[in-house]
Formats: sequence, structure tokens, C-alpha cells
Amino acid sequence: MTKRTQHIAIYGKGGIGKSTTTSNIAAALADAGYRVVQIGCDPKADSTVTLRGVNYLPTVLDRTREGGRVHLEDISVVGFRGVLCIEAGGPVPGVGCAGRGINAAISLLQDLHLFEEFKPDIVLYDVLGDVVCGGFAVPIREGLTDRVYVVSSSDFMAIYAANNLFKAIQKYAPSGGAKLGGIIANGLIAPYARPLIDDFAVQTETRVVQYIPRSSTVAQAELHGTTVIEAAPDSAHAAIYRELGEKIVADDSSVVPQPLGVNDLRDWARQWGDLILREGADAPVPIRAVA
Amino acid sequence: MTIVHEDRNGCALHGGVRLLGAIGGLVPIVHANAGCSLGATLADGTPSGSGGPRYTGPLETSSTTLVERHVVFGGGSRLREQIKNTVKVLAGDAYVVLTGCVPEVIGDDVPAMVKEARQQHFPVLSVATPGFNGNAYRGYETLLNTLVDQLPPLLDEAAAAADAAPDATAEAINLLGIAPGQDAFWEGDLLELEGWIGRLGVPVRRLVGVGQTSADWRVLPRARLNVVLSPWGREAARRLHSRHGTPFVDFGWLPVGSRDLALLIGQIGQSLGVAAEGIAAVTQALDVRERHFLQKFAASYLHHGLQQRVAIVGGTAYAIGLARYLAGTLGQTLAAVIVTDVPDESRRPDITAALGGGAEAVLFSDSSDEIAAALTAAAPQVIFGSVIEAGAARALDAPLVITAAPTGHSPVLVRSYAGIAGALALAEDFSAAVIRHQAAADEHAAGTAWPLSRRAA
Repeated sequence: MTKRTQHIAIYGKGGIGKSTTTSNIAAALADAGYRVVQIGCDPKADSTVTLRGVNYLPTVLDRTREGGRVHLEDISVVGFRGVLCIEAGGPVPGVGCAGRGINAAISLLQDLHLFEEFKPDIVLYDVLGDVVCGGFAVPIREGLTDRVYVVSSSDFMAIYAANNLFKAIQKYAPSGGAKLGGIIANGLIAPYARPLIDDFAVQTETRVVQYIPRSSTVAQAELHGTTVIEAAPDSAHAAIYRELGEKIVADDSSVVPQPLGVNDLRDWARQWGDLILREGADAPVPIRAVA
Repeated sequence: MTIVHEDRNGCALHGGVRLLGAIGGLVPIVHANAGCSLGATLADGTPSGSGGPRYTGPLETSSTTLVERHVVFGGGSRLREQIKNTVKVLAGDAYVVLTGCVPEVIGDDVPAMVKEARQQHFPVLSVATPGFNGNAYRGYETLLNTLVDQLPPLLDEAAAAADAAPDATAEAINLLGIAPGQDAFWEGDLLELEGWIGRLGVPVRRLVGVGQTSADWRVLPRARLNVVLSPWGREAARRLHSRHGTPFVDFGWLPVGSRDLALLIGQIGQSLGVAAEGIAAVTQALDVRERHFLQKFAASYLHHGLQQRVAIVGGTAYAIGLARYLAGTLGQTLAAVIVTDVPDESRRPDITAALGGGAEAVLFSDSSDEIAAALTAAAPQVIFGSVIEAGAARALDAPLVITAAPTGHSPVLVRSYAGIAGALALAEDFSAAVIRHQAAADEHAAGTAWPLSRRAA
């Protein structure tokens, strides 16, 4: 059991499985006896659904919008194995400023002394994938989180988004911002997927902390509105999430990533495209296939 | 007078700029749009008629004057540049970055810029004071909380580097909660209280205004007692208590007249462990002083029928202080008390309780329309408030005594309405306003000159 609260931010392209991964990490750690808080930092406010059921949880910003004093119990609910679930929320799509919203929600949680009151071992921030403005970078700035993990599949757009996140991390790291704990490779299907992500990690001087193959167990649990840990506690995927959770808690090493330039990233991707075309998408590919 | 722009309470940035301007040795660096820093600078003078000299001069404010380029691409490096230049051209003991709305919306990493400056051994700290966080009282409170937390260690660090000796007057009483500039009579009021409280034998630190510098803030945590004079100083006192164990007296308002000042001095004396005789010696002196001068007032009070229905409009500290004195000592009827500084809901029952049920109506509002409607409904004979109440006063044909910001055409230098001198000044200004009003009415009615023989109706 950790002495100090660890604050972990999880980023990645929209739809890549951040919330699924984060919720399963939360569930796995809670199942192992840790006190866990999961904070959804996405205006969609659906990060913690599989932990707490489909019941409506007012977001921090919903309550703020209503005015008056906000209490911790109004904006949090205890989910699977005691995970404290919170959704920052945001404005109606197309209006207002979601970045400021994240900023304001996190400030409010600090004002409410959330961490002093709940005394968690680990706090997971599930953050909107595209860091389009300063507000979404708040979780990686100095003092808020200890490490960042980036979820990515082997699809180019996911890699592209991960590379952009590396740029944000690289920008804030010199002034004390959080560094990268590693890449969580998610939704892997094709044989080339793993070596491709491994190679991206090599190119950017980072590392992959866990490989999560695409699985019907995950899809089914999602459809049932639960985590894999809850729905299929003895499945192979539950074991993968448990291992990932333990790695995150136990290994506090981190690096400053070296993102590729736009053209370098394109060239690198093209080489992989050529390779897959040449060998066939189903052919086994050795790690470090592209020099 | 037509009020084009009604600025009763300013914004958080204004409150921050005004507080820093009242402390010698502290230099504000405004990280905001050009309009914000100019606005804050001009607004510094507006609420109290004349802002007066600030530490950095009457108009000089270091500002990043952000433009669209910074909004789109971020203003962090512009702030870095501004800090670097400010420490070169403006001498100071510490520099405080105050952020406006734009950097807070776009998410500039201001703490990172401050950290960089600190690594280069410049004493810099930052406070988020975007206007959307609230009014100037809220800005005062936010900055005050940060200063009590961060300024003493920052100054200690700088002093250690310069090998400076510690201040000898650490064992003092700090006065917290009166917001410079926004509370229009802050300086005169704090000087008046300093004089009387000091008679208990412990030095008093006003922390703001003439002679108060960063040196006073450096030793602030080592005080014997913190005295809170409005809701806006309570959190700072609470922090000093939890961090340094300093006890505090949460008085909650500005004492006007001997009755409330004796109450405050009694609480301070008890907290300091002053013997009952020592406290009594001071409180009796208050009473003697006030009584001596009020007796001069007795004849004209009766002659002019100075028992009136009055309404009071102002921030918590002044609304309560004035109401208790006007009703409790001068025998006025409180038709309405309107509290304009927007204190937290949780504080409002205490505020209403402090009024002692003496007011016919109590309203919390900073909306001039609502306030004007409440004044019309209460139909007072005299209004105590800001220049924004001039229209309502005219409509009611009631004289207006300026006791709140903005003071309009009534410059404030060292005028006070607190303590004994301030209470007597209030009696003078109140009676003068009523008598002038009566005279004007008589003149209008009869075409006569000064009506020396007017009696109460």
C-alpha cells in the first residue's frame, strides 16, 4: 500500500478506450484494496459509468452552473469496490469553454479538500484526448499529477494524437510538469500492431507499459455497463488490467518523450504502410521491423 | 449626473491591484489585456475619489498587455519577458503577478513562469484574480490569502540572501479585512483604530497604507493576534491560526463609535490576557471622548429634528458598523440596510444578527436597480451610500451622505467614519446633510435666506 497519494493522468485520442482502460485500472486497484478516486475530465461526463452503473451523477460543473455551495457528496458517488467516481463535466457542446471548465472543476475539488478528506492511494484523471487548449493541459502541469499514461492503438490517428500529447508533456516537463509513465497499447488486433507501437515507443524514447488485445470480453462488459474486473474477474483481460494497475502503482519512473516532427511522423508511418503492404497485414512482423 | 458605467464593486483584479498599491515594496505585474491593467489603474482612483500615490507611482503598472496573438498561442512567454523587464526597471522587495480573465481562460501556465523567475532568485509569486471570479472584495480576499501564505517565506528568503536583520516589532496585532480602495475610507479608518487599539500596549500593524511595507508582512505570521474586520479577512486569519497557531478575533465589521469600539477592544484585551482594569481604562477614555463631543451636538439634534428614518447601503463592514452606530447611539430608525459586497451565503445570518433586528429591511444585493427599488420601498429620509444612490436619493428627496465607494465628487484623503473621530465626523456629515436639505427646502418654499429659526416639524 502506498503512503502518498499518487495522481495519474490518462490521455489518448477520443474513442481509443481511455475510459474503459481507466475504469478497469480503477476497478482492479480497488479490488486489490487500494483507495481509488477516478475523475472524468471530459465534457461528455461518461468516464465512470462502468464503475457506478448508469444512474445519473451530477457533474461538478452541473452543480456549479446551478449556483450555491457545492458539497463533495453532491458531485461524487461510490462505485465498484469503493472507487469514488467524479465527473468534471462541461458546457453544452458548441458553447462556452470546456478547457476553463476542467480548470474550474479541478480548482473546486481542491477547494473542497477532496484529497485530504478521502485520503486516496491513487487518483486517476481520465482526460479528453486532444489537448486543444491550455485548460486540458492543467492535469499535466506542475503539482497536480505525478505521471501521464497515453492510451493508443496501432491506428495512425491514435499514434498521431499520442505524438501530440508527447509535445504537450515535453513543453511542460522543464517547468515541473508531469512526465510520461508510458504508453498503454490498446485494442491490438493485427500481428503488426504490437511491433508498430513498440517502434513508435523507440522512436519517441518512451516505452509501452502494457499490451491490451482487442477482446469480446471487454466489449461485452461494456455493453453490460460494467468493468471487466466486475463482469469477468477471472478472465485473461482482468489479469491484464490487474497487472497494469500494479505496474502503475509500483513503478514511479517516467521520461520526457521526444515527439516526432510532423514530416518525420508521416515518413515513419509510410514505411510501416509499405511494410504491411509488402508482407501482408496478417503476416508476423518482427519487433523493430523498421529501422 | 448620468451614470454611464456603474462600477460599484470592480472586479477581482481591481481588488488585487488596490491591495498591492497600499503596501510599500510590493510591485504588481498584471498579466491581462491592455484594457484590464489600464482599467485597474484608473479604477484604483475611481471608487474613493482619489487613488493617491501607490508604491509604484500614481499610474505606473507593469502589464503584459495581451493581444490576440497571445490569446491564440498562449501568453506564457510574454509573461516571462515582462517579469524579466519589470525586475530591472521597478525596484521592489517582491513582485506579484496578478492574472486577469484571458490567461485564466486560455490556461497559461503562470506558476511555471513564476518558478523560473524564482530559480533566478527574483522574489516573485502569482495569484489568479480573473474578473470572472468575483468583485474587488473577492480579489482582495484571494490575494490576502496568498500573501499571508507565501509572502513571509519569500521575503525571508530574500532577506537571508541580503543578510538583513529581522524586524523587531514581531509581537503585534494585525488588522485584516478592510479592502484598500474598495472600502473608500480604509486608510483613515485603520489609522483611527490603530490609535485606540494601540492603547492596550501592543503595537498594531495595519499592514496597508502609510508607513506599512513588506517588512510588516514579513513578520505578520509572528503576531500575537489577528483581528478580522469583515468577512473578507476571515480565511486569512483562519490560515494563520492553523499554520502558526495565532489566535484571532473575528469581529466581523468596522466599529463605529465608543460602544462597538469598546466591544472590540474588550475582545482583543481578553484574547491578549490584558487585565480588566487595563481594558476599562481604554474603553472609558473612548466613552469620555465621544460623550464630550456629542454633547455639543445635542442642541442642534433637537433643534433640527435629527431623528430620522435612514437607509444604509455599503459593504458588510461599513453597513453593520454604520447601522449599529446610527441606530444605537444617534437614535436613528433603520428603514433599510443594504449589504453590497456579496458575502458568502453562509455568512449572511451572522451579518443580519449583528444588525440586532433593528432594521426594518435587510437586503443583500449589488444590483443598483434592486437597491434603488428597495430604497424607494423603504422611503428613508436620509441615505448613507455611494454616489450610485444619488438617483434614488433625488427621487425620494432625501439627502445622501457618501459613506461607500464609489464616492464620486467626494475625494477621500484621510477621512474616517470609524472609531471615535470617525463616528463624530459621521454625526457632523449626517447633520450637515439634513440641515442643508432643510435649508434648501425652506429657501425654495419661502425664498428666504439661511433659515436659522427652523424647528422640527
